[in-house]
Amino acid sequence: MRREGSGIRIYGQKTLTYRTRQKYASVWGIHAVSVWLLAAAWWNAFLSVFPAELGSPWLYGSLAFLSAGTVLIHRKAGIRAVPAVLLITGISVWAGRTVFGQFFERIRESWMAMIYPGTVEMSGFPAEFAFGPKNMFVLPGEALLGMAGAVVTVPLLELWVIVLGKGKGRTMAGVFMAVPLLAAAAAGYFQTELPAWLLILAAGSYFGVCEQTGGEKRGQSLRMWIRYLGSAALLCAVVLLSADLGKVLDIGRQDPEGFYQETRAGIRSGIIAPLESFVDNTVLVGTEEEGDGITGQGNADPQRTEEGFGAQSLQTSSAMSDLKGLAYFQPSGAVEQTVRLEEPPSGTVYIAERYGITYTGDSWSDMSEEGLEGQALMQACTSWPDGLDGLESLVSGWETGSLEGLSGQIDEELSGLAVYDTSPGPTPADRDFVEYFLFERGSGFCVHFASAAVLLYRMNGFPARYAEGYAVPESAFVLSEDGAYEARIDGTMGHAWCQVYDGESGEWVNMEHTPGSAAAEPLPDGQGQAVTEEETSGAERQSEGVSGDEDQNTDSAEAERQGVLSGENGAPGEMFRVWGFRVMAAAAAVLVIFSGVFLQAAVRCSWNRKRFLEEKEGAGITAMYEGIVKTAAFLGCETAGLTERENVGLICGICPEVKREEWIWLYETVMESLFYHLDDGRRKRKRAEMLCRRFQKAAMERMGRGKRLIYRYVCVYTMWK
Amino acid sequence: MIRRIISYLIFLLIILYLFFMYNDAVLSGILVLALLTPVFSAAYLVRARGRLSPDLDRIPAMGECDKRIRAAVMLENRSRFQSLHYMSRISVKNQFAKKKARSDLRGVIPPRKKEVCWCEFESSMCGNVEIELESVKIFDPFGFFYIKIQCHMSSVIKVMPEFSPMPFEVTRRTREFQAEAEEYSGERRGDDPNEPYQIREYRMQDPLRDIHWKLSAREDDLMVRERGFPLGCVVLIRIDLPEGEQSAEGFSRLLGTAASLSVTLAEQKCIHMAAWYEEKNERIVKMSIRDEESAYEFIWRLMEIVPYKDKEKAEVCFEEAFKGQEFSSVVTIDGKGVLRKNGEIPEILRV
Repeated sequence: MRREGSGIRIYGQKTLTYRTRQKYASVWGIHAVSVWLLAAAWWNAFLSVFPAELGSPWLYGSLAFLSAGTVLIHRKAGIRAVPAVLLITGISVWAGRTVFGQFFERIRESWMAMIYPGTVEMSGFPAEFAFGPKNMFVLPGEALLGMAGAVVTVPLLELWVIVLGKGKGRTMAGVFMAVPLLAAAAAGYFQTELPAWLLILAAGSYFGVCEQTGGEKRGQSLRMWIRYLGSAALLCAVVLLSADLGKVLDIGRQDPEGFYQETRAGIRSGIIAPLESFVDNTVLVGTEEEGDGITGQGNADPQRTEEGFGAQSLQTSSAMSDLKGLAYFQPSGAVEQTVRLEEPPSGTVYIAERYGITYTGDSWSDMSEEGLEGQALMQACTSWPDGLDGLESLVSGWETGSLEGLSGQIDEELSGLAVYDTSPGPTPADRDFVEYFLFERGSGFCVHFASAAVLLYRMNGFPARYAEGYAVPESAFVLSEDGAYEARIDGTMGHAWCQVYDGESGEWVNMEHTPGSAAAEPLPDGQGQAVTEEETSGAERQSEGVSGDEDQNTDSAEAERQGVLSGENGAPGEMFRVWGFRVMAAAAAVLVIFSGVFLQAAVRCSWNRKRFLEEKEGAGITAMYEGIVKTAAFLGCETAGLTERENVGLICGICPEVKREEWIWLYETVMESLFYHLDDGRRKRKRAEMLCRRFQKAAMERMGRGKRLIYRYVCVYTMWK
Repeated sequence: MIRRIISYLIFLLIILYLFFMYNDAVLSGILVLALLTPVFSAAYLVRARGRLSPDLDRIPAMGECDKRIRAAVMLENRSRFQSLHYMSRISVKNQFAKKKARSDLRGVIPPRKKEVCWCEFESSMCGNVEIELESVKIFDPFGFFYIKIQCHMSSVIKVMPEFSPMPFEVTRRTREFQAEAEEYSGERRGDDPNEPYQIREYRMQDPLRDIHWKLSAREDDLMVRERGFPLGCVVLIRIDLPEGEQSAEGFSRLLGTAASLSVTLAEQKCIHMAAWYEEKNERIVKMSIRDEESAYEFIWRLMEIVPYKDKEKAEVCFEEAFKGQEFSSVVTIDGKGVLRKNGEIPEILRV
């Protein structure tokens, strides 16, 4: 229904045939099939990229059952069924929260496995579920996951069924259909041909169903099915044609100087890079300590990594050689290395594999390639290129005393100028890597901080070099059988830091200036790179740790051992929290309902106020009299039309305190305002208002408590203040 | 349609981006499909355009104020194979209102079928309400692109006011007023010598001029001829609707007042006349109202009134039309529904 200022009120009206077609069984059969096909293709497209083991036969079978059920419910109850269906779905999820938790965990694991290949171990299936007399029926764990997947799809099924029924909301339905494609693209992948085309075909036939299931009479369902199948066949033909023509477009795709590759490079440099730098300059990203490091050796899929978002990621072999191409940090897969210590480590252990000596603005030269030693090495470690005016002006005026003092000052400057960010974006070609990091972007990860720290040390007269390798946290070490402490190194421990030459001890000292990193432990001789103890950099240890995964797993295991996370061990605190949450949720729901009632009463009271205060042509008096007559009807009196004089007697009976003459005056004033011209409208309106209030008071005194509440908050005929 | 084209272009840009940034071959096919879609849609819509026939034929002639009125639009799909997904736009507007109310009716018509789209509406003001089928949009199979067929078919529904009784007083003068007429009362005597009421014996205090001498001589007794009471229009309701003063609310009020006044006079057995100026023919439209039926007919015809521009000419026509004719009371209702008697607004009407 719509109201208009012209006094016309149009009511929504379905067409006769449109309303009728909803009731035919053949129509809902087609609807059920098309929604099921769409849901199945949707999951197929999703699982083709994120291969979670969900018990596919159970998933698709449950989807068929739920699709048919949803369509049937809507056929009977229409859109009114939506709240009930969603409520039942919510209750099912809550009742089977263990299984659903495992389901969502599996989805998350499959996502993480694609983002960080080789770093995630997929968890197993949930325990089988037995039911029935003597538990004779058993559902395997994968069946539970499949059914869970179908249940969480119910809101989508609802949306698609409603769109089929109403014919509106196709855009929203189409957006949700594209979620698997968008999710895959966001992860840096895309579906292969079969899942993608199946999804497109299912979507096309879904939209086509709206065209074909209209206005059929009984007995013409065969014709409808023929048209539906014909449209599907036509769509298949179009898809095949498109796929064939698409192969023509693929010609020349691999040519480096072809249109395709040049356009791709142009998009990267002309659109993506400026966009990312704009976003980074305007949005501060909080620090995140998830595996700060460099991708180690054995990167599972370097090609895929490079295509993540159209920019380079941090890769082992080119980190020092192409600093400007670093856009984001992505840890690599597991690395087969082990470090052993005779003594328990007291902090993070740094193991360097490469050293950067000469800084050129976009790269560090590898020490092993330069072959510098002795004085030449020291000289190289105290030099920096020209053009670093920003850095030079930054350090001008620094008091270069002790190494500790300088370290603290560098920490202070770096933390003030930049924040930790695993995805800072690449550096423009015409900018210096370190100066762009410090003075323009303001965010970066270990490579950025280490490079900046090295240059700052050099500018203050301390020989310094850039180091790449691994930072093994203390928690990664475990006591082995022979009494040594061993730790397995993986790609997440890749790191870059700064080393400063200490002239007194004659050793290179690890200096950590990346925010969130802890103190280092010097390795004993013969175990690789010697490291010395040092004070902490001044940055507090983040709760996630330098290589946060290990710590998080430890914390999680500890928490699970204590049964804190399960919520099922009956700990009083947990029970209180759970019940407290339920009570609060119920109270919130009640509050919302009451608020809605009060709000609508307030809105209608304000509307009454506006009507009752109207003085033009006695409209306010007429409105008040109308409210009085309605109130009399609410009290059970048999009222007549507004212009009938009989109502006066009823009103007098309800409110005998007011003289009959007064009510007669009110009636005659209303007649005058309806058919004649009302003089002195303001005075008469005020008098009518007084009568209305007295009537309201008398009427409410005659009502019981419940009726009074209903009158006050639901009917509000004469309520306006 | 502009919004849809922009949405399509945005969608195409996303596909292009994915095509260039990802190596997957399926994106080439999707890009081709995206490029071919508008071509296929255009071909489909052009063909479908000539296959749809709209019609506005199930429109009621009248309705009542504040009551639901149903009007139907007929759409015929002459295609042999195509179902047509359509959206028809209907507008409803009061004659003197400035705003229209619009409604969109959606549906699907199978091939070679007709579909009736019902539109229900309610008017809070009486008068002429125009219902118009403005346009019909036909959508492509995906419901994204469409083609619009301009129809501009309209029909008028007369929304009648409520004929509720109105409080006013009929004076004795009016009840006894004898206006010229060709019809005479069969129940009471009057003063019109043109028509005898009855002939009876002479009674005391009968005026001598009423004695029928001829009959008296024949009857050998004094006979008196009573005069007839002409059933003429004693009250004139003048409708004054100049241009510039009309509004939907005012005209609705005018109709309501006129209807109530007329039906109440008719119930009081007070024969009256309604008159208004018709500028097109430069004449005064007159209607004699005796009963409820003629009161309804009066309102029905009154709905066709057109506001006049030349006030002076209207006055001259009124004077000419009612020259030599007298009424007990002349009540004027203007374009705002304000009632005046003898040029003044009464507190309560006394005719």
